[in-house]
Amino acid sequence: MKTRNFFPLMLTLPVVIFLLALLIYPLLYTFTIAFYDESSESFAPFSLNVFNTLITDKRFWGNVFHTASLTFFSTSITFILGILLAYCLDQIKFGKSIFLIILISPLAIMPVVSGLTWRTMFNPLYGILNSILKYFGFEGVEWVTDTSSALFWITIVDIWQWTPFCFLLIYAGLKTIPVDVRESASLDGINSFKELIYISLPMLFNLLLITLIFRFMEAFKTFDSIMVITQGGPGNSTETMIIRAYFTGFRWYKPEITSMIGIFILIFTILCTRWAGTKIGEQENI
Amino acid sequence: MFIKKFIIGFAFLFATSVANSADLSQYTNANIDWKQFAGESVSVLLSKHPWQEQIEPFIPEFEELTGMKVNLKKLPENQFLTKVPADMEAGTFKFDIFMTQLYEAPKFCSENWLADLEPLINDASVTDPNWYKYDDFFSGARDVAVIGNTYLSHIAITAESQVLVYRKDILDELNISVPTTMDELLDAATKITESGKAYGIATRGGPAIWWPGLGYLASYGGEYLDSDLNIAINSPGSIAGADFYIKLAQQAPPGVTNFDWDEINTAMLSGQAAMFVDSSVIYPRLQNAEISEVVGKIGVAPFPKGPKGAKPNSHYWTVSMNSETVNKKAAWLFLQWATSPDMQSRLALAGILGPRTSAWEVDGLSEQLGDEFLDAAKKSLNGAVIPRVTPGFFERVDIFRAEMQEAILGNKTATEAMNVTADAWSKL
Repeated sequence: MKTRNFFPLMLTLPVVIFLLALLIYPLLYTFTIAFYDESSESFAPFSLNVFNTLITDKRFWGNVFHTASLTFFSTSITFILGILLAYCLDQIKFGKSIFLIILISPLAIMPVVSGLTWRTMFNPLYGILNSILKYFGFEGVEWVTDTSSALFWITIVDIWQWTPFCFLLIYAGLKTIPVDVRESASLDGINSFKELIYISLPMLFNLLLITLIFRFMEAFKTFDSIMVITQGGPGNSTETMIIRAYFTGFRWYKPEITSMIGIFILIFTILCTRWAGTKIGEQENI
Repeated sequence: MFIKKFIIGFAFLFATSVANSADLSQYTNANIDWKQFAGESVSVLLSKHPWQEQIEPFIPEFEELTGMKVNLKKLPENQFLTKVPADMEAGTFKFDIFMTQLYEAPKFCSENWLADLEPLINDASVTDPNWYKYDDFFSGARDVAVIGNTYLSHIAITAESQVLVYRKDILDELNISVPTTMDELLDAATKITESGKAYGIATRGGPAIWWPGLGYLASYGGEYLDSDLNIAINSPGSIAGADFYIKLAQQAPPGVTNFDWDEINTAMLSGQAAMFVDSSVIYPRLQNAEISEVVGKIGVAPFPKGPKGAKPNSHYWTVSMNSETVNKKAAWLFLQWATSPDMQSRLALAGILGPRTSAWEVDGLSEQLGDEFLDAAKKSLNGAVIPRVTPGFFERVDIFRAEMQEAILGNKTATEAMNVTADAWSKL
């Protein structure tokens, strides 16, 4: 008779415990806070009150819209810019290290610090941006203190901050493509642009997908720059889901609303990244 | 050599401390038996604050006066503000007297954490009403004491209120007289902005817009919540006040929706703005030549009158007693001493402008701050209001903030903005 071997189980036990403590328990607790009904006396005090308050709240749909628009534009533009910059840097012959340092510097600055810098630059009275405009004879602009333009400029800051991230990953990817592939392409008379579209990028498909997922999730939970520059204002024009969650949870002491927003964010993120996950899975099976 | 200096210095210190501790007549005059709890002790928790810095050196006098021992502990403001409620909640809070803020009152009073001070004020064995003069407190300060429609639990120790601060040179140049009414204020602001010399006014449009906002609402007969704590933000008076504030803010420098007191201060210091109507504590900074470009050009006047009079908003730090305190009478002796007319007058001379009328009339104060400022601040404080605070106060005023910003930027009218605010408040 075979004795059972518990050794593999013992090896995985620490991981399982940590997962339970750090991921599963907080997740379940979030659900409890969001759906628990204090006033109910039934055996399962489950209630959709918070859910209903939130989905009937116009302001919440505003938050969703701001989050979606920031995420979409920031992700796509940083991604495309990242590819272009990486490709350009890969092509040039000299000064690579200097350009590399300049290009990744936004990533090295703490978001709060760069947020404060941008906030000062955006200042309509003393900021450098309006000073430059006025020097050339233009009217000053309100930048982030007008409801119609605030989210646009927040998106620009986010793009500035995160383009280096996409650029760096994709540049590293381009470096892994064997030289002979490109050499043979050029011998066959394909120009550089076609080479990028038909050879380099398809070869980097998995890397690009992972870059996109990371960038997407990062953009989805953009917090520091918004918090420092506008705090969600003016009006509610830059209030994203994560900013709303912060205010309701830590300023107004309403953990149930924060938990519900957290659940929404979780569901959105899972839905949006599922497609990418499946794609990567397919690649592995080949 | 060093030792000699040291000894002389020490002797000097000793001599001055003896000289200081001698005069207790202001307190022994009162018809109170100060020594009745001699040998007992009272524990005090203070937040680090100019008031704490100035009163701390006087505490040995209290110990000499009463024979009691004061155990003092100080914490930085942020830690202080989290420690008190956290320890209260856990039941481990061990101090008799501590500083409080009016915004915490609904929570503190509903949990019965604070002692009711009214019986002590009326108790002839520990209080001399002719000496303590409770009526000497500004009406706003007496409102703070019972804030949130609760019992008397907060005694004010500092006072600040909205005053009008203006650039004398710009007003003179444009031949504008100092505004005394709201209409004149708006006219003056518009004229100055149009003249291009500076922006007419700097005012809060950021997260703390509710603070000056209440002053305008009240002066037009409005308020956030009525006396039964029902929503009054969309009453005709409130809408009129909000409408005025929106028009005023539109005369402010661009970016006003990001302005808090610091930005107002900067706009004024750098000469970008010609007027502001904000807290009286900013004024002394403008006269500081190290940071200000406008020293000597600044005038100050009382809060302008609206249709319902001049009702500026005000702010007070307060002290309270723990409801768990065993010997409340002994603790009250300390509280009474610290908030007495004489002590608040002495603190006023040290720069802590107090919540009592008498503290603004001390000899020597006018040389320090100027009669113009004292008069303006005193008049404003006399008519000042305070917000009615309920749990969730800051969430309410944040909704108000967002709607006001929309209106200032011209996306909404005051009526629409206040109706949306009222609607959102009713759903909280």
